[in-house]
Amino acid sequence: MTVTDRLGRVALIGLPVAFLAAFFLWPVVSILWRGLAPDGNVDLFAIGAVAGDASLRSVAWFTFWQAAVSTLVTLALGLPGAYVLSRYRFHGRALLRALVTVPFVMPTVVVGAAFGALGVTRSITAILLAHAFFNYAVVTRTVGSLWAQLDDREQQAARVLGAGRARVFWSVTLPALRPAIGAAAAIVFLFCFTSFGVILILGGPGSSTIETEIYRQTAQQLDLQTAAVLSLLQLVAVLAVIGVSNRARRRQSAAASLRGGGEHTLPVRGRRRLVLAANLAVMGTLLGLPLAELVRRSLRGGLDGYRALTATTSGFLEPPIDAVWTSLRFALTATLLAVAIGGAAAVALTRTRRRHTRRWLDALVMLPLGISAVTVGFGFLITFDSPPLELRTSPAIIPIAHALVAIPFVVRLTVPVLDAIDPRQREAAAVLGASPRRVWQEIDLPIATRALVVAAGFAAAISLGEFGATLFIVRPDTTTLPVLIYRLLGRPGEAMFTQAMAASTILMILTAVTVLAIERLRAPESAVF
Amino acid sequence: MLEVDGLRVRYGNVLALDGVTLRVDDGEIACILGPSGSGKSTLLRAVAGFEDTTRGTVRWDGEDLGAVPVHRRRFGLMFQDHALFAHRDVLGNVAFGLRMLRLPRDEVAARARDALDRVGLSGFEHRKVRELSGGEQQRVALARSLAPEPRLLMLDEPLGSLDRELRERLVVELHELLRGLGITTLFVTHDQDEAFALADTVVLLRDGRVEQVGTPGEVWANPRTASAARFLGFATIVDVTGSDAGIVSPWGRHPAPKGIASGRVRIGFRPDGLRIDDAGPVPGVVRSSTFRRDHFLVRVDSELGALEVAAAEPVPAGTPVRVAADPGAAVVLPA
Repeated sequence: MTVTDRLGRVALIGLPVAFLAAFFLWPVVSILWRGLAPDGNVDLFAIGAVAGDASLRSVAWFTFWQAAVSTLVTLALGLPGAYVLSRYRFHGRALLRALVTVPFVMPTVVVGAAFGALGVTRSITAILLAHAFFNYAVVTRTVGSLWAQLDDREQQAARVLGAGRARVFWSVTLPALRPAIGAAAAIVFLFCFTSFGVILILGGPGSSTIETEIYRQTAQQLDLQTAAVLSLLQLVAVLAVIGVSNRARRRQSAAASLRGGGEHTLPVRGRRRLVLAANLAVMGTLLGLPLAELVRRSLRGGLDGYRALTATTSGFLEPPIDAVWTSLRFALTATLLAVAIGGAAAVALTRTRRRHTRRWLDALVMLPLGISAVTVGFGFLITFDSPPLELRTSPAIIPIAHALVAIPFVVRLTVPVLDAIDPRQREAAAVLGASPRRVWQEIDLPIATRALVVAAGFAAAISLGEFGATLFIVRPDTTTLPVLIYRLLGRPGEAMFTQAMAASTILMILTAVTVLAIERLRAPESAVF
Repeated sequence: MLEVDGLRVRYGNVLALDGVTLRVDDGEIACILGPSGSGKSTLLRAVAGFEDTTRGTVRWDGEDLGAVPVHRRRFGLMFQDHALFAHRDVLGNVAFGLRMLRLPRDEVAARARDALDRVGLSGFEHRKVRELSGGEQQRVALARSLAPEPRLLMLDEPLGSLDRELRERLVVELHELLRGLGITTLFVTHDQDEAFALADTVVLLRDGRVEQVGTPGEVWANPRTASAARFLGFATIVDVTGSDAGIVSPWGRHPAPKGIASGRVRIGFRPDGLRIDDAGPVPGVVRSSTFRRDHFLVRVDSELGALEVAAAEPVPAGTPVRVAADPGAAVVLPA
């Protein structure tokens, strides 16, 4: 190994570690410090005070049960969808699969606005439906990709041995799918547990989650200590869920036997027509209707809503439409950052031979996925308001926050692709005379590039829609599209509502275009989560 | 000339190669023959430079290759399931090694086309490797290995994954191709037919050790250990006693090879070395008869142990028979 190779290797690990240490670990530690030792001395009294507060206890309870029920609703609607999308053969299946993914990347404020447009608002039903809307694709993707590859011969063997259809499903298919269902359930639960925009926009007066409470305590009550303790509580809960699901996954991995080769699909005949129709109805109502209604409401009064966005009369300092450019600019910067850092981490993860290095780096890189966006925003707020990193007034702070949220996705999308490269391809190249550097150029790079392009699209979509963290650190001249929509929704009057719908439609189209473009590029076998 | 001397490779607690020594002369085709798990592939990988050798040396024309990295050895290695580059077309695969030599672009293309032509795949240049049949992939892999004109060509189970019928045809083609090129070749297989059809020298490998080296004829006729004999089809192996008078069994006196004289020894027969004959000296009872293309294999339980005998007709199980043998058909083995 030459000196430059060694330097390169150190940089691959050092870059992500330094970035995450500065912009993730430090803010999180600051929160801990603020919560536990407000005066410089460790003070556990604050925790006791929060734990003893009945209203805060009910917030915690509501957070938990709405997440649990949301997960169940999502699974109930999504599992049949996963079956149909992975096992049935019908025209437009590929397009439908792509369309179903669109809600997952929809900005929370757009979804809030869309359900608002439908009149489903200010209720627990609205929250549950919005969560199902978001996470439907998590279930169809995670479970569907396993279902598509399940070895049919196990089920056929069970049939031959005398098991009926229902029996085969319960005792062969379902156990084989359990790792994927468990993984999907854990992800959905986490997303719902840390849900922010949906609760803020659609929740009624009594529906406050830990996440929205942190925001309220900070922005309205100016009670940083309570916010810090709540962040701490959130952190512990999230880590516990991740720990439990990882443990379960380790135990269950290798449970399902997969068939090599292509997918085996069923022609749609007889009773299957009914099943397909029912699922299409669910997708249409749950996923299609809100977005359609959003567009329809934005066009009430022709293009007035859109025109008003370009005017300065709405009470904003600048024309609201400027938020589009701000969002696009931030998305570009955040994407470059996330791809550079996430890509470096992915390469380092797949190249390191030391098992414990890999495990720790993996955990560090994945942590931001579990920590809520509001915690990140709050952490930025209290950390970067003084030297050495005084970034609160810098426009860079928002793309950095977005990149932090996107990095885990970049890594998750890239690592499996790099891991899947057959090591013998590298050996074959070496025997044919390729130096280690050349092997990387010829074998790894073309494959990694494709994966990184897909990851970049995802990162862009995340940045475009990011709301929770942005709300903490946004300033009047850095208003992003989601923040603009939230502000418009909070103003009285039909005209403002129409403007909010118009801005939401613009954001929806931007996001959908990004995601559908990725969908064309992504390898069919790579799973998102 | 390839010289491997006292090579040891360890995977964890397993000694995959335990002191292997062998030599392949220029233009020679040497075959490592052995059952799965004997260390065949490890040996190729060690010569290619992929394995950390615990002890021993690999030399080419006297130069120690210990410090020479894989990509500077100028050896060719065809992997067992080919390891073709899926994201390149056929020509891209074959041209790869030539590009690494930094040859001018038109020379790369010309020589890659030549190599494809040599394996009978002209016109396949821009096909995707995934779309090829197993036999075609095998040819692409061979062309890819040959194109940069390696000093040594190594093949790992070159025909292993193909159908029997295709394998039998390709083994002839491969033989003609390698002979025609005169390239120094080291290949491994578990298939005796493949080994004996292709090789100038057969090296029997077992448990990471070389058991025997010789021409196909020598090895086929005179395996030197019981395990080698069993692997090469001497299905019947019985214990006998050697004395100063020679090695004597119920079937007569067997010529003793050098180094084996007295005490306990074993003799081995292929099924066609034994026959069912009422005048035979060894009595037994038939356990089963199995059809084997041009004969029936009759298993006989006798006081010497199980005997496997070739017969023209099946014999019903339970029939008492006597087994005769030509003493010269036996191979004498150390106990």
